[in-house]
Amino acid sequence: MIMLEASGLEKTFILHLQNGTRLKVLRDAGIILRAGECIALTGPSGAGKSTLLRALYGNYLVDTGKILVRQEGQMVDIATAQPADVLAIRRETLGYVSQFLRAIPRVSAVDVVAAPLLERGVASDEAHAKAAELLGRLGVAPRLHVLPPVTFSGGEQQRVNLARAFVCDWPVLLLDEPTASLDPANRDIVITLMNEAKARGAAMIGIFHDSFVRDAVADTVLRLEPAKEDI
Amino acid sequence: MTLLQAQNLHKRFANLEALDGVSLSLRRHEILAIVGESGSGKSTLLNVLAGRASADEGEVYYDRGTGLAPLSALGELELRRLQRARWGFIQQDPRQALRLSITAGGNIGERLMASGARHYGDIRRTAAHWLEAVEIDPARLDDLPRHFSGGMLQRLQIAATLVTGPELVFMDEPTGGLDVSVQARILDLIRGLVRRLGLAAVLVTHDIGVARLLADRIVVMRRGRIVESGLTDQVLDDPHHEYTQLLVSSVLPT
Repeated sequence: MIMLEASGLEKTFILHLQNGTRLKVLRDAGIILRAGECIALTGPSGAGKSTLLRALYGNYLVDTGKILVRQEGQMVDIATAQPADVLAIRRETLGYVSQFLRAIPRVSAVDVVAAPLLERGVASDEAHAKAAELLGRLGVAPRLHVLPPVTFSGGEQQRVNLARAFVCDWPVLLLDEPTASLDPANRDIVITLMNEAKARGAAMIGIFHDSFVRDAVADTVLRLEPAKEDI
Repeated sequence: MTLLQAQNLHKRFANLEALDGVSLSLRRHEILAIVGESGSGKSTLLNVLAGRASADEGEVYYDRGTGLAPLSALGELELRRLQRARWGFIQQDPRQALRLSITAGGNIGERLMASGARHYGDIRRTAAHWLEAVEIDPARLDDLPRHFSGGMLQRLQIAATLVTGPELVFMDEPTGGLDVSVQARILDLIRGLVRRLGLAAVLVTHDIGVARLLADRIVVMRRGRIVESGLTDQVLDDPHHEYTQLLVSSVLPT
């Protein structure tokens, strides 16, 4: 079953503060992702891997093209959807793991992780129990759960970020370097989590610079090349 | 689903076009941030949306449960009733919204009484509950707010605004005058309350960090016009307009 189908994506950044410099990053990019499948994005730095991932999440606005996401049985185009619909797709369907946690002062690690469940209407006790379980699996010590991650190390913050991504059974997960700042033991835990998600039918697109991780989770590789400027 | 809508608002002050053709809409439970620098017209827009100032041209519509209807069709009294019963307004300076010569509990209770509460014991209990909700020790119920810190005053204003159960809250730089350490606490409090109560909100701020934290959607204003709008993270991470790019690039990294 196709979970996400993007085609004809074009994205040019116009930097008004740099004399209107135009950066063409995506040119006729597309991807088809099925349930239970993991696609690894590869290609040189500047090829547009992160841009594609952010576009698929509705975080970057594409200039042209369609991004159809299966939201509650219907294919919805996130590229043209209203903000409220994009938020609904993110709540129910699309999970995104960035390289960095955007920590909010005073919000505890367990609350950060439980947030996506609470937004879906899961009861607070259940959401917090699930959050604590995930944090535990990722080796975040229980005494840290009640603290805001603002003061955590980079690796700890990333594990909070990952706990948040795997706490919900998102049908589609977008992963931007999920294991970047992790030690081998934690990296292996994340590989297990990703494979568990695949086994329950989750579809994933990821950027994995670590070839060990890529080989362990990816079924297919999609190589991006830097877009040529028009002449 | 649209709760509030503005169509083609114009407002002129002497030789300044404070609002120059502004249209927007707000859905139920949605949080909209209006960002821009001082003089961009954002506070004027907020005041017009909230019925505290009138536009020279254009119209604001609100759905009181029977479909969108123009505010201008309401009489003075009806508008007051709408503002009191369904809306809240949180000002930047809590001293202008609160009465410093009556107790903290009195400030909250007064709003309840204005909306019809009469039972003294109930009012006191509700006021104490709301002090707790904004993290002020309920033991301070009978203290005069004159002795409160700026952050506490702002939290008291939030309690006094939300106690009547509004469905829409207007906020004008709610953390503008506060120390950075206090801002985070207020913002977290607002974020929690707004989500828990399912409020809709229109928030004016010059701080895009505040907008990112609180808002679902953002409009960027410059010289009385909306130059860009959209999903908050999309506008801030992929700004298209020159002015938005300038705003985003002017923020110190955290």
